Amino acid sequence: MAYEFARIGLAAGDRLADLWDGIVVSNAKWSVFDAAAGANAKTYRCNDIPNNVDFYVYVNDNQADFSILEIWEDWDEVGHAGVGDSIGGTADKFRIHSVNGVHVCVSDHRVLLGCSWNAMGYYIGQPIRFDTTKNMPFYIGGGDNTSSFYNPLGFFDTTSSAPWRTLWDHLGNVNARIDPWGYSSTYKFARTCRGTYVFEDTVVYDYTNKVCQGYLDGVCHLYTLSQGFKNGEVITCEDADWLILGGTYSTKYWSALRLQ
Amino acid sequence: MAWTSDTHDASAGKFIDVLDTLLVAVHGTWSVYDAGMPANEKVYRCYDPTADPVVDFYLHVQDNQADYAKVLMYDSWDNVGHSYAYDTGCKVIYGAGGANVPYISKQGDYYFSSHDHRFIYIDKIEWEANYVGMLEYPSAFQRPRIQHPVMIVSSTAYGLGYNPLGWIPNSTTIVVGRAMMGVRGNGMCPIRQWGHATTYKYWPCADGGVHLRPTWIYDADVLLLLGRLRNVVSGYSNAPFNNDDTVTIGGDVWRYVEGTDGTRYSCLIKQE
Repeated sequence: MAYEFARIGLAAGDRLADLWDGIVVSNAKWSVFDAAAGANAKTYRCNDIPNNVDFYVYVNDNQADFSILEIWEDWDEVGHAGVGDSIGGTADKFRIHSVNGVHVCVSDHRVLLGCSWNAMGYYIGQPIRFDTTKNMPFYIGGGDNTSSFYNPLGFFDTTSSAPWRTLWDHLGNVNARIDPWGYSSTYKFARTCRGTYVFEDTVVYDYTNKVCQGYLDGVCHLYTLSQGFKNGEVITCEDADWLILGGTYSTKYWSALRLQ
Repeated sequence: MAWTSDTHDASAGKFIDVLDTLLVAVHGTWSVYDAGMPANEKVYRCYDPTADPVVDFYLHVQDNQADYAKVLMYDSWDNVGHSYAYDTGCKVIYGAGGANVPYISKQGDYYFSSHDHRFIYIDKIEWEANYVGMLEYPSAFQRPRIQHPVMIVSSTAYGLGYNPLGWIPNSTTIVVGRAMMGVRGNGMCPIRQWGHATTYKYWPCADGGVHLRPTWIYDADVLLLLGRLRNVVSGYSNAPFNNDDTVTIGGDVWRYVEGTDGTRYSCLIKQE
């Protein structure tokens, strides 16, 4: 795992250069699979076959401030098009903002991002799976809202503002809705009577069958309970720093991201 | 620590017999502090000066009737005058209202989980799991400076089959859920579980296993975590199994309890 805070340009293509090419592909499990996927667009592969992880992330960065993402089962690097099952793209407008810098956490199987400007958290890739024979890349991120920024990692699935989706659930269902354990409970207290905090990786279940898929690696979902949190503060819990994000929408949807 | 499955009849004194045999005789931290009480009443002390924080609380058990025992918790006891020594208010003598006294159903078959700092008594007639004593702290980072022993037990409507450890907070005649002392030093502190009242607490996992994470308890007045239930997972109304089912994880056996009420307030308890 690796963490860094990255200043990222705002122009079209800057997220490709500064974030994906500059940081993500430094991890050996991530690579540029199609460098000519379109104008200011590239496709990246997360490939760890021995651990049943293989998926493609198409990043359309042909606009300022944000990227639009798609996750694909396969990718044709000659025809420059996705193959097989997919989630995201123009229908759901999976948007990843990068204004004013991004906290970037990269592991072998997922990318975790925390954007400074809109206090939004994004998760792209595998959870810590209960069934490691299943390839189940998640997308938890911004939707088509451009001004009302619900923090996705503190919210739960809606198709418009914070999609929580997996390319496949444990049964192989495509574009399956996933949700955080405890869902919309407003009683997700994290502060102890000692003044410290308890942040535990959140369990995610599939919305249809109510079966736990895995833990979000480095994400504690806190919903609307602020407990005095402020956007951007970092709380140290024993051996880790956790970034607090709540979005900039009038209702704050809180989450803590482990900066590792 | 020990897990016992046994039976007794529902008559007076049988709950005290269980505490004497399975708690006091086994754990040096538990003792009979006042044996000079009326028939079928005793006061027990849980005292561990080596614990951090120090554990020291008293249970006045009134077992002089059939079917249930009254269990009251105090922070001191006068074993000469046979009464609460200093009324600081740090006690648990009722739940939602003054008439809602802490009861533990003891109608026959039971499970008992003993520990140096807490016990769990499960009445297998009503399938009610009752928790009395200390919470646990995974690390010193979370450990409070002072003790907050809790009672999560039934009340006068013990015969309705609401499982206290599936529900947790005070509720009319059904459940008593209080800490002897809250964060501010206040007595009779109401408590709740993390994710209070949500039904979205799913346990079955994609690999066919079960996801278990012991339940955190918070002070419902100031909304700060007090600690975790020791080896208990509370599920509220999520009820994927049936009473007495077991789940084995990593060699540990967890026993499922949901009460006999139709809403099925569930919990899993590690057999220890």
